[in-house]
Amino acid sequence: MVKMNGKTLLVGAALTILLLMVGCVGQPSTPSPTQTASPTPTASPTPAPSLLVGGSLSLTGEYGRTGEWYKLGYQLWADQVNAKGGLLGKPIKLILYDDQSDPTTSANLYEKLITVDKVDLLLGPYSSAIVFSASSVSEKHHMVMVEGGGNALKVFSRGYKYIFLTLPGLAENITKGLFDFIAQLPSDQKPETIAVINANDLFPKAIASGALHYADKLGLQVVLHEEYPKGTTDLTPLITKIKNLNPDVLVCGTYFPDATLVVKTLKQLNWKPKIVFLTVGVAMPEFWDTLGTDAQGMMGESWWEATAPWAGVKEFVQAFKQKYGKDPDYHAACAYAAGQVLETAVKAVGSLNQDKIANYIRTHTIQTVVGPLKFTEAGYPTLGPLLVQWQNGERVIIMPKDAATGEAIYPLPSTWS
Amino acid sequence: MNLFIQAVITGVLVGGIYALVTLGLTLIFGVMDIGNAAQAAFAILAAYIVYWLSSLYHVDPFIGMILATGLLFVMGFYLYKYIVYKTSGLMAFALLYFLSIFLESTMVFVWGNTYRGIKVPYLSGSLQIYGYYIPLDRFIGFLMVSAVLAIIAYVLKYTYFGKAIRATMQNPYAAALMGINVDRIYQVTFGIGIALSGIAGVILGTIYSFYPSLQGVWIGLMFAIVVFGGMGSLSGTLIGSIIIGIISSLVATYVSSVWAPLVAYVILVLTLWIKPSGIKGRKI
Repeated sequence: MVKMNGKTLLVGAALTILLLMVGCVGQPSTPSPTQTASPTPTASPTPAPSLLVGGSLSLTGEYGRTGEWYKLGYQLWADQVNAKGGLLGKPIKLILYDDQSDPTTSANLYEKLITVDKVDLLLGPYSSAIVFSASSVSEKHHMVMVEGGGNALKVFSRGYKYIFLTLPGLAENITKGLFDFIAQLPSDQKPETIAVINANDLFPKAIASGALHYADKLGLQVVLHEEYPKGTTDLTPLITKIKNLNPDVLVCGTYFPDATLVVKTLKQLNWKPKIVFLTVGVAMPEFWDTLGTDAQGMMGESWWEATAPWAGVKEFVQAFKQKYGKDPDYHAACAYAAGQVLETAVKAVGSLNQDKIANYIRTHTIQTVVGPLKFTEAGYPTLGPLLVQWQNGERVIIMPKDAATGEAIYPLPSTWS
Repeated sequence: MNLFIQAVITGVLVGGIYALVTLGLTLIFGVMDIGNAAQAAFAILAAYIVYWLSSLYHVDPFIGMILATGLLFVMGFYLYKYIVYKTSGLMAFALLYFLSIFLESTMVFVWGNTYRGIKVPYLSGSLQIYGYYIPLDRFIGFLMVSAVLAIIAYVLKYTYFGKAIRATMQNPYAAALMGINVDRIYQVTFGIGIALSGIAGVILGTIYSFYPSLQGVWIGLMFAIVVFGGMGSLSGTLIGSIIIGIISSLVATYVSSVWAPLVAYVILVLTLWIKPSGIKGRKI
């Protein structure tokens, strides 16, 4: 009997731990949709005195931490517009709901924003799957959605007319800066061979297919293209193979752990091609923290840098720091830029006519903190991310040339000191 | 440089790391028949402790490892003494599984899901012998697993405590009748098992970037090794790990890296099908 009680107790304890855990993972905020502005009158037929801008963000759940950056970016933008007297003479009122990182919830919230809250303008949610689902609602209602959080090709291959992206480029464009860099090298210094490796996951695959496309256009000979499992703990066999083929350029579609693993393994095999390009990991400060001087000369893409010489970046960084006490990251910059795109278009058009706004965005280059954005017919920018290279603990912008903050180290020395 | 030989060298070294990570699991399973589903979570916890000691207080990772291992021993000891002893078999597994999720969530909550790596600058290169490369970090891991195995073997064979453990493994009731404090044996063994995961976690953290949910990736592989090596057999764990390491490395070299991680699970299925007791296991 006593033993049974013990077991019952344990099951109870385990369940309690489970419940605690569920509570722990999310943010301490309430799980139900939260409104950052004061509640809107839901059924008021009279025109609202302020201009309503709505959106859903992942404030809890899987993407909770990232979603928060978008919220900060959106709020800073709205505050600044209001400080300058609002948009079309009205103050902006932000309505941001929490979609709990769930695509279906997000779609429902956009339906509510459009049909119940009757917002005037829409800002996008975060992450491709959620944008994919939410934008089907905004498109149905012919509402413009400017978003900085979903750049998968599938979002922009549905022929939608009302969605625009401020993240500078699709996953497929990530290596654009690298190949622009290679293209402008004098012909006697140009690399001739390339190896492409990537984790076997959707995003790294897209990067690799983009790189192979660009390599083909530049006439680089692809000596190897191989995938490896996401989350691998050993790349020695693969890098040994590549070392034997001795390509000039190594492009790696990586996440952070495998990006650092590639660099460590290159050092262990005491070999370096002329260019090493790694995705995702390189733009993070942790990259240098983890690798130290071994990170010297490693190239990667960066969606945004606080040192980028675009108009308004300095002011944005300063205002962000002042308001929130920390530096903005690229998510916050893309969110702020989404606000800038809407603001510019609405001001130029002079009304809230969604067709006119969409048309304006599609046909003009708009200056934002992530750079001058010119959109394709599908709605994503043609800019492409920045090409950065680690030099003595700093990320130096190499491409595009008009944003460069330094000269590239090229070619890399072929052995490690 | 012969690609085949390099692949075998790599496989042996990686196998050593696998063994190091799995030893604690094997020990706990062998002595008390408990599948410690939280083993990998403790390894990640140790990696975090050493990471923060080294980045905040500049404690050398190997000194940090000693501290973390000691701390984990104490945690394991009391975890068994006050909680795990009440359970056995599937209940123990479920309890420890919940514990692993709890540890993971707590680590995410406290330290975030950011990637970390323990920096050991003097281990970042490799030895070069006849044109073959032996990565230093993995080599140290291999030495470590050899040393740990040698110590465990010595203790089991030649000390009173070791004899008591073996007696308890064979028959806990008879051991208790002979005056062995079986509860104490279990507490210490559980402590040692958890402490071993500490060593493994630190070595893993120097080789690879880690984050809380990495534990879920490792625990699967660890159980596959335990089954393949023979439930509860320490030498079986080492042999099994090295076989899996070498085959994975050869597959990555000659077939494709994508197939390499499948090796362990294919072997797991084959083992259960052909020889369920594993390489050196007890009869089932």
